[in-house]
Amino acid sequence: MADPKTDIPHSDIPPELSLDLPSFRGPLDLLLELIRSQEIDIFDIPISLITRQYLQTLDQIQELDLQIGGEWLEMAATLVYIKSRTLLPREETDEDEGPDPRDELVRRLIEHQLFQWAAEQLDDRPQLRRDFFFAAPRGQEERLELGPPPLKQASLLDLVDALKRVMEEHRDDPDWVYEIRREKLTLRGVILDIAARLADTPRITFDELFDGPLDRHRVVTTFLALLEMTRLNMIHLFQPRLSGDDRLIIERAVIDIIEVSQTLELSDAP
Amino acid sequence: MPRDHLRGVIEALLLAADDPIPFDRFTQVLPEVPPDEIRDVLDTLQLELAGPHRGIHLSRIAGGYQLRTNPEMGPHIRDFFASKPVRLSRPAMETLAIIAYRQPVTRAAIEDIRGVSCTGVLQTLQEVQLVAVIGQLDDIGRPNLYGTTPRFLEFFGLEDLDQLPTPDSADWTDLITDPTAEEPDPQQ
Repeated sequence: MADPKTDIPHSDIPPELSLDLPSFRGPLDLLLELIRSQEIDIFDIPISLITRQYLQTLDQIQELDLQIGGEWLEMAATLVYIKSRTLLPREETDEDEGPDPRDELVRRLIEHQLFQWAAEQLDDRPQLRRDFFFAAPRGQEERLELGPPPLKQASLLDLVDALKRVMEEHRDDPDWVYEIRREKLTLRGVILDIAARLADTPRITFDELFDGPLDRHRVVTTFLALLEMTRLNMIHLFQPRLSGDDRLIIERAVIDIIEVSQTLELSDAP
Repeated sequence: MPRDHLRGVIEALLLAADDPIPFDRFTQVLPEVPPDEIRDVLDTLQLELAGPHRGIHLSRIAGGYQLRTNPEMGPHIRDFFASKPVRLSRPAMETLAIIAYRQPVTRAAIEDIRGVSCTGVLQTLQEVQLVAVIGQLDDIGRPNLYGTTPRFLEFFGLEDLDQLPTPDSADWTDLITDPTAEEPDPQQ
């Protein structure tokens, strides 16, 4: 099974665009990448070359205005220190040269690789509920115990993403652009709609709000309604914490949500 | 007890039990049957069910025997439940591996190996109950010590921690000389 994450970027991409950031999860990963791509012997690392390339990559990352953590600078300092040590004339007093200043770095690189290997081995094993399942009574129990997955508070960005997905899905609807206004939507009306749904089921998904006929006006009004309801602490927006599942979940935050929405003071510009 | 009947009893127990059944539990429930015979029936059953076309496998998981579905059939079951599997990211997998092999281990020690902070990843791993705080280091600040949970064994279908893969000499050579080489597929 080929792992797309480890694929080397295509050579026809201009070098300034070929920086594969996700694969550099940390400074050690970047160093290993440099060592691998140039087929360098890990026990005889040309420290000046690697230091230069490491610092170049850091510059590139910073040029892209990406924040880098302290660990990247710490590694840069370590590399420069090792380089300075190798440049110093060796003391001839001892019969031996003493430990190679690169040793500690090599140890860390190998250890890091070892755990990457172990992680791959684990990932290759059959996994519960990805590959194998237990018998049904236990299976049901597990689904209760585990699902719905842990939630995190959704940010404005998550809301915008969910909105974008809805827009993408309905882009080709005939009514989408040439809308025929049959009904006059108000912010208050949409808030009441959402409140009515939440009064029945305390938790609904974002997509459920858009299961009827749809036009841009409705989408935008619904978006504003959700913002307003969040601001007034009538609802909470959540998203599953685990990656791969980007459903947005809307949860009722007050019990008498219909009454609350009926008494709202809205500066309602339709 | 006739052997056929014993086999039936064991099959029924395996189906009815919620958790992996340790071997001792079989001998407790079947005191009149010699333990060797129970072991033999379990071994035979395990072998018979091991075929690639069987839907049910008998596995040793988390210190006991448990029926589970054949991993080959996983996609169909996922379709059936319309479920998405828990996907662990690479950083989460690496952090999990470090904890599994080095436990009990502090966050600082994990971050030292990974070279990056792992606060968020550790939290995720605790939320999916693969990792737990199993104590405090007797040192300044009493930092938490992390270890794997019994669920970790179930999750990866491991009988115990000794079953974690260890690199053999060939793997070591790959790691040191040509890390880009494909790992040989473990035939299991």
